[in-house]
Amino acid sequence: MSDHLTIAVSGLNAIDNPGPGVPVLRSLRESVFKNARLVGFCYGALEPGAYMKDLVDVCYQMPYPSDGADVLFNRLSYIHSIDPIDVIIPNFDSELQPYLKLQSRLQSELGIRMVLPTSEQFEMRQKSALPQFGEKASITVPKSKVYHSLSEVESDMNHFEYPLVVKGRYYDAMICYNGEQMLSAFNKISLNWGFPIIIQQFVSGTEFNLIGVGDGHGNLLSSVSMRKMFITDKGKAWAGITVEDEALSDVAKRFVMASQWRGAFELELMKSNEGVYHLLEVNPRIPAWVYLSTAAGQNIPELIVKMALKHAVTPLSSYQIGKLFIRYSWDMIVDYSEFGSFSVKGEKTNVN
Amino acid sequence: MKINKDCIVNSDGFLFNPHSGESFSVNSTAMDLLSLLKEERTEQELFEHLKTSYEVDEFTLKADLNDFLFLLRIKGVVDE
Repeated sequence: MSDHLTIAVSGLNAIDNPGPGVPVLRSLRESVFKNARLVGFCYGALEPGAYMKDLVDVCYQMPYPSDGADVLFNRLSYIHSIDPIDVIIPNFDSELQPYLKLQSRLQSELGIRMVLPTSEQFEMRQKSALPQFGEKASITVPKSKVYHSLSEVESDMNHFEYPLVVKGRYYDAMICYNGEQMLSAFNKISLNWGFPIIIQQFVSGTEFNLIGVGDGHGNLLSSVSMRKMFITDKGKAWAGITVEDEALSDVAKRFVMASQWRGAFELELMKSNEGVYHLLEVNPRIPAWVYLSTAAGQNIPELIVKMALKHAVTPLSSYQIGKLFIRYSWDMIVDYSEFGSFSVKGEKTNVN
Repeated sequence: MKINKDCIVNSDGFLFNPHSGESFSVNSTAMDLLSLLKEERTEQELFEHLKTSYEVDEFTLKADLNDFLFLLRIKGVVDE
């Protein structure tokens, strides 16, 4: 069955905030779908995953999410006409809205399946809506306020307590220790990512992340917790270790129950010095450290594909504690002709 | 007093708490104490053991032992 299956995966970039695509593909190559045809969706010819011939069979360049759902549908229709796709795993936050819009159309017109949350679920975990969701789910969330302009934040300047965190809607977060730093971060993030900007109470402590999968009916199908051991200047884990803490798993269960989440998600949490887990963010997709969960015994990309194909799935209940990931970078050497051909044609077939 | 059953201490003196994800390197004296804690020895028994094993005055020993046990408690390595 898996010999004839085609699975497309996006997020093949690998900057210091790497996309989840490569570890998703690596997990699939070690799954029951290891013989599937794996397709990479890229936003540029320099995404390194496109050149990883043992992981990716063929790559296509995709329109940017800002081009809209119709442009994406046209591109997917073309790709599907030459390379019929069974399942897509989108891995960027910013892609999810166009894919959510197209979900039923892709299935009914092209037979392409995805496992995504609903639009309502996607919205309820937005950074701007997280405090309200936290109340509903009985999960502690740091206080935050949403700002839509510089003048709004300037009028609140006298009420801020420092340090605080300035966050973009989708990406970026900066810790600020005074008003000057806050305004600078506000301007920088709004310039890069637009409005709204979220200003959040700073919680000091230890950072934990949890990757999980919800079945859409309030049940947790998979959950692996990780303590960040080494953090980049962007706050991204560069090394981490699997841990087991019932209080942490309970947060995931409450999240899935309250949201009825369907598909993969990542919870970013700060354990305060008082031992309380504060939910900082919910990412509506597989995170870049997903291969750690695979190595520890829970292959989440495999689970997502099974769900997409309506296979019977049983909850994954255990994993190995004390497994570390230590990330590194690796310079691949590629001939200019390979890069040039991919740049010009927007398509690339890898031959091992 | 006993060591948290889930904590792992290997022979090189590497201690891992699987609940918090914290890890520590401990010296041979601490290894000695951790092996006694595995046997659920009391604080007084630990004190007596150290007093006979090391050349140290009682005041210093008591203070150092208290510090070490306090650290183990706040790091969740020992249960009362």
